[in-house]
Amino acid sequence: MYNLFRDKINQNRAMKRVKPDGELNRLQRLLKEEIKNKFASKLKVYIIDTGSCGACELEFRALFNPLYDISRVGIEMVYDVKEADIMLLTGLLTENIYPICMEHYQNLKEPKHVISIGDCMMLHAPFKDTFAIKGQANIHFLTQAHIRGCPPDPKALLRGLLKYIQSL
Amino acid sequence: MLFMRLIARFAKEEKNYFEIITVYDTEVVNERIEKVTPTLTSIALKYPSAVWFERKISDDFGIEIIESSDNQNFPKHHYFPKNTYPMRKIFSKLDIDPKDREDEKVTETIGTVLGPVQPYHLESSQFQLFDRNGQILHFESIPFYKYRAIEKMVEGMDINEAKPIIERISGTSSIAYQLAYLEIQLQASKRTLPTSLKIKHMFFLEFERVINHLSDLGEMSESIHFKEGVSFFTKLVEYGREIMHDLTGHRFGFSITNMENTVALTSGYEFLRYLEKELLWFEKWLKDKPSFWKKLLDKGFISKEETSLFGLVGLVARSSEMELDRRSSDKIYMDYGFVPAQEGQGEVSSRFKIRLTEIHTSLRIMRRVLDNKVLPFFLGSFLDGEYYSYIESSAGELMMYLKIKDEKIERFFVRDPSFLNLQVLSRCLKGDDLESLRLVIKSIPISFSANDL
Repeated sequence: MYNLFRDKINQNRAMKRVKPDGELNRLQRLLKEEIKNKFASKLKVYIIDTGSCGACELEFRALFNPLYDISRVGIEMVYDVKEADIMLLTGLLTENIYPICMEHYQNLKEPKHVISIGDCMMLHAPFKDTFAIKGQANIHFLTQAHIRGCPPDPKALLRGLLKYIQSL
Repeated sequence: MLFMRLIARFAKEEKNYFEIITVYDTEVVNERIEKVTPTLTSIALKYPSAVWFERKISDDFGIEIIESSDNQNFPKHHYFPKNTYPMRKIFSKLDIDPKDREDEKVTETIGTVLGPVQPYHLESSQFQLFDRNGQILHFESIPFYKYRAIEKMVEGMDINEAKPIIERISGTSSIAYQLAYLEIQLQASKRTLPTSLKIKHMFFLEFERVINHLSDLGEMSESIHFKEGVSFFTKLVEYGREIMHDLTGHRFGFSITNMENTVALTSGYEFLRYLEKELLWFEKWLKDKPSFWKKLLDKGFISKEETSLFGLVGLVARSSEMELDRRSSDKIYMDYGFVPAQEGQGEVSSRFKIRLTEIHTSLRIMRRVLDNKVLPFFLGSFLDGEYYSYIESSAGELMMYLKIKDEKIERFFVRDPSFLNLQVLSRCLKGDDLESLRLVIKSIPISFSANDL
């Protein structure tokens, strides 16, 4: 039954547009190679929402859907920062979440890989600075890379991740 | 006396007094409170959901709430100096000196701090859980955990300047927020939107609803390890976002109310036809899967009485036999054959089924909208005054309030459906087993970004 189900999804012509294109295939292939070489085939990612509207997390979540399926290239979500290789930050960095975020940052194993995602993180989004906002993420954490966008779409996230891993 | 439904309760500051505005479904009650030792009598005995509104009033303005069962601060206040109230006009600091901050830490908890219930989305200590032998005794969610002070942020801004902020309060409900704000802009500029444009907005609001419902169904499928469902729904969500991007230039529909003139909605036609066909096939397939439905039964129950008492909104209310849908009183929706969905069991399975029904309703409306020609429209200047708007978002009734003074924002308030629906979560989880925790949470559409503002 499951095969029938899967075939039905795959064979449908209308789903053509959400099938992997050339760029996606290339990104997946390169990511797989890089993760194999630099993280022993398994890259563990921890994501923390520091005050986001939710869009960045949803775009990141979309990477695990059947189209992008980044678990195939070796990327895995973890729910304990101590297990993670990379920490991702999304949203405005708020005063309320900052102490928690700092605690997680300190618990991240060395070498600390931190990537900020989305325009909010650099205060480029239309939100204004207030008493509730701590400030730009790269001032308070040693972030190694930033992925732009409001929110960055799944392919932009993949490109950003790949660029960072290639730089290691 | 007829029981009125509480929609929102909030405060604003005037020169010599505080004004408490309580919005019911049939009337708005304004109450004045003197500024010297301000106190407000709670209405929580009659309306339990008033507790959160009143705690917020207390935190924001320093008004003491009397006769309330819960006077705790919200976490946004934990790092604040004593007697500092962010929504008072006198408070305009950009920074608070760390030396002035309270030493008080986040309330110490005795229960288990729960693991990641919503992976990829929430810092886990936003929830606290107390359990015994795998059975949930008490569940608590902590509002304003990532408080961004948006109400304060937009104060003093031009009406148009605040728009990009308001449309980013919640990524998943951006279109609903944009339309609620547009409604206020229309009231303030004494304009009426051309019907053709209203229809276009209805199309996008329904599109957002379809994507959010599909996304929720995928999440619910994941929480019961129903892999086929995850695969099916998440792929449709991706397809939906691609089409949304084609139509609006953005995968979440940011800035749709800025779009001018005609929009070729016809490129969405293929998507609508395909989605409808696939869903029908899927539902037929699902009918023969009793093991699937069994996993959704007897979980996360909310009675009709609780729904009414807590003033719950959206599909949570509609799956507990409540006829509550703002679209029912909208002439354009009725002209396009809108029929509100309703379920009777008030549990997770009802909330699963009602989403499927609502997707079909939305698709039917959207198909009829296609090929609609949209005329250009421009807003004029905005008149000072107080304005309210209501939109039926995918999560439920969204209420927005704006006071304009000297063409600037004097007070902005928004009540997301999550603010009401989140309060009942602990009640509907009580007694359920731990395994179903994620499923029940996912069955209720909650936006923490909109709730935490």
